[in-house]
Amino acid sequence: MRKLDVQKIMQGLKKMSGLLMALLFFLLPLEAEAAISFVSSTCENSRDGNGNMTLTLPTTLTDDLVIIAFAVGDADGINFNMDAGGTLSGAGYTEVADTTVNSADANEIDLGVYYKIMTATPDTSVTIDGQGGNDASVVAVCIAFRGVDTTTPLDVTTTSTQGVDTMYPNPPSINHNNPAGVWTVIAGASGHSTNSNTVTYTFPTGYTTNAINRAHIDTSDAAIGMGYRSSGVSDPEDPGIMTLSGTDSTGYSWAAATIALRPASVPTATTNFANAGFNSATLHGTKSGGGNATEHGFAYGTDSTLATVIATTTLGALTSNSSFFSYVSGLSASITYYFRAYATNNGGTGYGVIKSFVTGDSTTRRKMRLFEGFKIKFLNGTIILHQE
Amino acid sequence: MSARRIFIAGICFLVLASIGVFYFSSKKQSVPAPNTPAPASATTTPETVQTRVVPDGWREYRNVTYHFSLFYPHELEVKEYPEEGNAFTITFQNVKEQKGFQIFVVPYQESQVSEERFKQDLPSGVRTNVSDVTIDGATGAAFYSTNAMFGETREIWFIRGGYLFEVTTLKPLTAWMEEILLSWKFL
Repeated sequence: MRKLDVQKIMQGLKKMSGLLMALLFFLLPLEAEAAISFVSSTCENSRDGNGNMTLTLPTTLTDDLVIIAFAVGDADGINFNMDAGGTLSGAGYTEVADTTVNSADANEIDLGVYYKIMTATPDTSVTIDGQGGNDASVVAVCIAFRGVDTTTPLDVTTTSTQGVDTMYPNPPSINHNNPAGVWTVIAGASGHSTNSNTVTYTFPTGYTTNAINRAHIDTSDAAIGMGYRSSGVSDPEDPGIMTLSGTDSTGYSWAAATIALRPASVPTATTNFANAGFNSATLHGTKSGGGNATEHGFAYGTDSTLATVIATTTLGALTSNSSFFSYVSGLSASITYYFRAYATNNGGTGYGVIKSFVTGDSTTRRKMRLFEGFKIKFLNGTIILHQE
Repeated sequence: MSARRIFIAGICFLVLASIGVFYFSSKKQSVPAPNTPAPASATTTPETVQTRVVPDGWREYRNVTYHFSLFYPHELEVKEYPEEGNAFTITFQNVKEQKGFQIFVVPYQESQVSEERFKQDLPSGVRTNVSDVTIDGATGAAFYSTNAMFGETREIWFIRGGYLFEVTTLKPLTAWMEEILLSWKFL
């Protein structure tokens, strides 16, 4: 029989407990940050830049983030203000990049990137400034995301750059704050003369899912593409090169931008207590942290897990960490009910723990607790208490 | 089986158990959808904390569950007794000075106190000098009754927010208790 080596076992235990703790750490739910999700994308092109172009947007909801990237391919040697007409800024869009290859290249490219958090009446289309130049191509793409922090949707300032002698955009590296669940978005545009409106981008590894691109030909051809990375994002994140189909040339140019998206912070809810009546109750809770709630309230029912509920109260938005309560009626007497508070936003829903209360019982009799343990006597109208 | 194998098997079991616990606790978190429509009877109000200025020599008793507050002489001792059926009793008493009163709160669905309820909590059935009272907007009745242990008692009963409040003291303490009840506020 082998002897037990206690020292080795202790060393092994120490190592394994460390591993176990590390494993448990990663298994624990990260409540503070929610998941960003892709909603949809659209694209559009235009024959020339004489007029404005209408870009139909994806169907979005309140608090969705819409990112629009559009490009003008030309040979004018002009550094365009990409929203010179103010159609985007006037509609509430914020510029995150406006870059130009203003060189001797015959195929120049101007790239503009804008974003907006949708309101209760999301935009269905935007007007892209065509820059009024003939013989130019205008191309635009749009991607919408859900679950982005509505206050600070972009984790850091967008990085953008441009280059010549190739039509392969190289989105710049970005140093983000490495929040849990960060996504990166790249937008790249190419000025070329391949004379093909079917050229497509091959996105860098990790950026291919749901990416979208569009090309157009005119005297100056243009292509644009936008993709995102939802996992495995490094810090700093260097996305890699977007390769455009067709034959490259030193006469071509490119522009690109990299954006880091900050996930919304899920509101945290705390279930406090209920004061129950005969057939009603007032449920108390608190929004105790996280982002602003677009909806909050309570779920309640007789199922102890609340897998099925009688109803969920919807109390509307809550922009501060504060307590709240709901009065619910239609309950039955002498029944145990379960309830929990919730607060939700575009990042997800935070739940409080499940608590219970029992509705009142009409047969409960009053007990005289006053002077309990004492005998009461009256002497000439004076109260005398004697301990029993 | 060697000790080393037993040890590794044990750790594996621990890890798997941890994963299992996490998995099932995560599944639990995925319940109710907040979009289920609320019944028409569900209402909400932002909760506000009303602060009151307490007079010298007095203290404030505040009950957030039953939503009321009152001032009481600082020499009184306060005790709370959760009762069956969501009822609740609070006593304010000073044995040395032979002063005290109690508040009994019970869920109640009627708008007026029924005879059955009176009989239930007043076994003597005695109710004399009945008069209407208003406690911070809640209407009720004040009367004298008798109790086997207390002799004659002063009773003030009123209904508010689905609860019946029964405030009781000894008859000689009527004026003393009613002065205290002047400070009653529903929160």
